[in-house]
Amino acid sequence: MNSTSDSRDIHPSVSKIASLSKSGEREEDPLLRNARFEAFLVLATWITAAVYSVTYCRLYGYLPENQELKFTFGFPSWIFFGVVIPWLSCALVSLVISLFVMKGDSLGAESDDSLLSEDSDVL
Amino acid sequence: MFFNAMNLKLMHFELLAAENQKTGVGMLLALIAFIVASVWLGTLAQRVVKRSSFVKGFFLGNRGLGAWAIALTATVQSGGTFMGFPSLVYSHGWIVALWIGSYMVVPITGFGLIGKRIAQLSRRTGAVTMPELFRERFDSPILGVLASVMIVTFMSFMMIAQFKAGAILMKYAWPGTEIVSFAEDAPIKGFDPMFLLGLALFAITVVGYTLIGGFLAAVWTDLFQSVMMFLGILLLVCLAIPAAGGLEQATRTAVVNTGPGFAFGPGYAPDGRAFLPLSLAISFFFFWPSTGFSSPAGIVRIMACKDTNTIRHSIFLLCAYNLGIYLPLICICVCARAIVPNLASTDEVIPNMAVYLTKDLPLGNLIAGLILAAPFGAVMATVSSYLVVIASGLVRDVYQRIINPQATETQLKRAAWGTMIAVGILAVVCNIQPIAFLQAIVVFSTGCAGASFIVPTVMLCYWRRATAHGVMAAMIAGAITVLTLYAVGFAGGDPMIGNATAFRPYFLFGIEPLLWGVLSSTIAGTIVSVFTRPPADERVSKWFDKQPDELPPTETIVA
Repeated sequence: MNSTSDSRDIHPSVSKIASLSKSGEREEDPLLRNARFEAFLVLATWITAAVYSVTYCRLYGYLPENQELKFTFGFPSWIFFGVVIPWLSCALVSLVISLFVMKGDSLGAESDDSLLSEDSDVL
Repeated sequence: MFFNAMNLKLMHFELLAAENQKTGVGMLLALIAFIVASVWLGTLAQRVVKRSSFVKGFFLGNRGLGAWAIALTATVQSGGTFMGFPSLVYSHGWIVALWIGSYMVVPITGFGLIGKRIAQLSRRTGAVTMPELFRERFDSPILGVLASVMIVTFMSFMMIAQFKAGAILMKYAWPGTEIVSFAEDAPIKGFDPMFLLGLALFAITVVGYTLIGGFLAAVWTDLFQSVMMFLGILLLVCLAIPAAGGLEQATRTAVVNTGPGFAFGPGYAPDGRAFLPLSLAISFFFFWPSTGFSSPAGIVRIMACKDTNTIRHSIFLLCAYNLGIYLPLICICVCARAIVPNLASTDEVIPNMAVYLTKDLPLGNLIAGLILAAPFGAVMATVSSYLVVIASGLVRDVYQRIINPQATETQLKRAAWGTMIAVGILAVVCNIQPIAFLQAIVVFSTGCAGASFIVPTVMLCYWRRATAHGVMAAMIAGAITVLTLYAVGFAGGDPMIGNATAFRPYFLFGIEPLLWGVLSSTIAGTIVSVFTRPPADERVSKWFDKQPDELPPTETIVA
């Protein structure tokens, strides 16, 4: 079911509605603005997960001399805290972003098949 | 006393491993069930295809995919999930969890970075294929052709390898056949009539149901095998951990069997190589999500989604699915190292575990067969998806665009069928005498495809100033960079890092070639875009601004 996007249904931090008649400029598509904001959130999540996971595993999981093997819930502890916990955390963050942050923007109407509506256009 | 008992147990496991497990009737029955289910799904899909125009129905499922279909099929897990990846865990140990760790962000990156924009743009342009999306967005037929050629080339290599994997699986389904290796680069010795028979049967089955149902047939069979794989892995992990005496004991036993490197980074390797040094650990945290969100097969699925809510729901469904696949699979393979420590070929790990762990269960043979049929299903689904993408590229972007723009629906249907049959025959012919280093070529093709399309896809979605020439430069630069690094690596010696393969890249500064490909793609795409004529404002506005028929009534515009 497509949800119709209200022109004010934009992330508050990026909303900026301009009148077309005043500025003469076209209004940026709300889906684009929301998608860009959400993409930055996703990138931040990605980078945070990468930095934490790789750093933790490098510090505690790479073989130094006389390293004692410790376990947490059956996993080597460095795997549990360096991979399993971040994985669960990312799942939670993904859930929050997808259900509560991402906007249900309308994808818009579908264009007619370009090959039915235009003359043939060879290279 | 405990040590002696453990030694006896290990000896018992080794004897089992030495025998190599044999398949039973169960696997054959399970494969037959998979094939029947796939053909049935293909027939169902055909009914949906008939509801609208052939092109949109056959290649895009009428843009009606729901969250489950998108989530469980967007990443298009191949047989590699069940064969190559377990082999790595068995070989190198717990460090592979970090190697695959970036799958924790694959759901959110796969859908959250570009999902909504791709879905929107494909509707605004009316695009049915990825090359068409590029063509319409940048108003460049040449760009469309370039994208089409690249996609068809890369995916053809990947698909041909999957045909071989499918043929091997069919061959070993015959009762009493000894499981040797399910690897795509498993050697085929001389003239092997069972392999050729398996190849023919596999080709007829997959091409057949894809021909009938098109994109939806590919998606639904992918969904079906994804569910089977999930259930199979869940069952295996519940059996494997107790059999190994618990996960902690499994690790301790595996360390005894191999060395301390099995439990630590950079991973265990008898030849002393570092499987995952820090540079590669960083690289692979970038690699998997990047190749995921830019893969042509994945993007087509996003184009086919129903609405934005489908994309949102797909994210958490895929999160749950990945959690249920990858971490349990790692646990199974660690247990395998304890239970069957000396497998001749590490690709045998899942088949051997499946047969061994279920042999005492009621209907154990059938259960093992269903588990072993999961990689078969994965291979079928991958081939089917690639067939659709390749056929759509050739039919829509070459035949309909260039050769016969006035083509009727009947002509398009015949062209699609003809293309799929031709591609299937080509794949069979190429596998009669399989190319040496085929698996290596597959890996290289995957890297090239990723490096070619990551940056152009982002440019397509978010950069107004991007030009057709800039995008072409980005595609070519990415592909050439990866190609060059592989060529240098092939000519040079073993760097003793990463996976031990015959055809390996040159790891410049220890970094995966894909990253260099993306860097060069970014530089080339940016510079060429900036120094070429900007696209027409009106054209750009169509893709980036609110369209006139979507404007709210004037009284709701805030002054």
